[in-house]
Amino acid sequence: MNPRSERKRAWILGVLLVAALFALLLKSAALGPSGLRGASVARGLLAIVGLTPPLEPNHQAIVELRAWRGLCAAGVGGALALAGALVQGMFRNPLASPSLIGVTGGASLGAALGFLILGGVVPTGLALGAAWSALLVPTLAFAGAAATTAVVALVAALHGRTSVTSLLLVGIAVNLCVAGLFAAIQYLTLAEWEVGKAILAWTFGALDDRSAAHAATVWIGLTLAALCVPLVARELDLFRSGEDDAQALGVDTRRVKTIALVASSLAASAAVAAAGQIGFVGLVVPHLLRLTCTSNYRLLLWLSIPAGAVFLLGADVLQRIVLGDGVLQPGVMMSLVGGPFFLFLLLRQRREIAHW
Amino acid sequence: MSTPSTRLEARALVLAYPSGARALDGVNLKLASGEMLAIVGPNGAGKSTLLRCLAGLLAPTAGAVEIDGAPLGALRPLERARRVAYVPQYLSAVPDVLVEDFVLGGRYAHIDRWRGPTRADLEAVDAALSACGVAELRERLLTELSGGQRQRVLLARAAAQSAPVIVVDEPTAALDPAHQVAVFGLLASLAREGRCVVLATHELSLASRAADAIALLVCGRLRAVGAPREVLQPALLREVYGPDLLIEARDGGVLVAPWARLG
Repeated sequence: MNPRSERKRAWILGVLLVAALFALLLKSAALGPSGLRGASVARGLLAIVGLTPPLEPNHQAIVELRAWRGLCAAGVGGALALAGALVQGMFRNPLASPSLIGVTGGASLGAALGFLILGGVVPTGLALGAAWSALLVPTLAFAGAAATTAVVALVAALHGRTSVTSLLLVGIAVNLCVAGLFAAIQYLTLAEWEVGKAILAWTFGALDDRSAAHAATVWIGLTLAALCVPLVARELDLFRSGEDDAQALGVDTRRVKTIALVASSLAASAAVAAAGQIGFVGLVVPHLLRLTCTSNYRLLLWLSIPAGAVFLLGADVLQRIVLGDGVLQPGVMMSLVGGPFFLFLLLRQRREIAHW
Repeated sequence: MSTPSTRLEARALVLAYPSGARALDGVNLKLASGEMLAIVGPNGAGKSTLLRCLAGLLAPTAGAVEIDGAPLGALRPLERARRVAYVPQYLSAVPDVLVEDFVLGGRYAHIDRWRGPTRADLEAVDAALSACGVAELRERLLTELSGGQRQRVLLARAAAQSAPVIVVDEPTAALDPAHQVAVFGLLASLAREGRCVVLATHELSLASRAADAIALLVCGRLRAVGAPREVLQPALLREVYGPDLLIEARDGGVLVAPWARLG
């Protein structure tokens, strides 16, 4: 295919995705059983940014809650897809996902620790205010994800040069340790019904009851990660013919791997902190883009952000239309829909599989 | 190419494995721009290791590689790539990219991150594609090419890199005779343009006609270095490669072919 037409198609797709994203955000804010009309929803949204006087408190609260839900879903989808694309570029494997480098496991452990503290199982001696209590789980989830990724990266780098294979193997080992600790916490809290339930529910992901803090967390993480894209995009394209080959062309491979690792960890950690565990987005969205548009990382990394946002928010809107509010948690929904969908794609693209 | 003259020099190169075994043991080489040096030797002699050291991709345990007196090991990757282009024997993965995009990858060290490729970069790609006879393949996917075409595209990418030194690892492995001749001709023309060209090869006959000098590497040590006809002596070749050889001085070169009674 002609590169000019590839670039053109990527731009068209990008514009369409951004337009779809705005439409979905508005639809998401208008969707629900409260009987609010479109005009009031619009005024409520403008009131959030201070452009109009707020609606009557109950209605304003409802609109705000839906706005944070929409912004969270979009940000989480975009961040997970970007993190997935970065990790896939670095591992040179379209099946890689952020969970490989310990993001998911670390976040789960951090969140579980947060629930233990909130549930009083782990006495901290601190009296947490309501605001701090709300932020404790996301903060610890983020810290857990970032710390686990750091451990994976540092252990893999112990013997000088960090090869992608050693990163992968250390990732598997660290993930096992973290999963063991998480299982231990789950087992030990079997008697603490409320705590155990909260931990279990967190692993399903959540988009309801989101606050401005959740939305800010994921969008800040996503923005910081996106700022790293120009520093690694060209390089990841050269990685496609092998890391040694990229090195010979003048790529500082160590720097590229470090930046890609930090950026993907930041994006995925922020996403997990804001909405719990949501699988498949990071794996499926970059793959869909490869099948439909481009394998060129200079385009793919940017496109993955609006594509992931539309994917998760669209799925959330769709399930709210079909099933009503909050029937399935996003993590569950993504597993149920994403798995078969991915399998379908693979079967349609047998040639692709042969090339791996 | 109008680069000022360049000197590539390897001094007392040693590359030792953690076990203490030496892949390279005191290798000295000198090469000036416009010259082509063929490194030959049996399998496992250390040819590829030597090439990776000469390209600055592998740090020697002792000794140094210098370009115009500047040690290669002290250079940052970008600066190194502006001085030395390295052509691997094969790619560890063949990406599904267009040939022209792949060759543009050779300009990585010249392209400004924020401004993107300039007219000079695109012209260098055009010139390299033409010089290597692959201009008509530019809109094809790299994955669709034959082995001979792919090898010439790899050389085109190295030519586009515009480095004064080109290091090439076994460029004719798996090529038919016509393509072998074409690739050697291409390397000779890159040298004539004023580059230092170093290659590793098992094609002794073609090397004897195309290269200015041949270095015979045996067990990590240089057994002989010099003009092709001085190095490719029947006695020395039979000592290194065994007796099953047909050797014949011919047209200024040396014809060397495996030859034995089989079965």
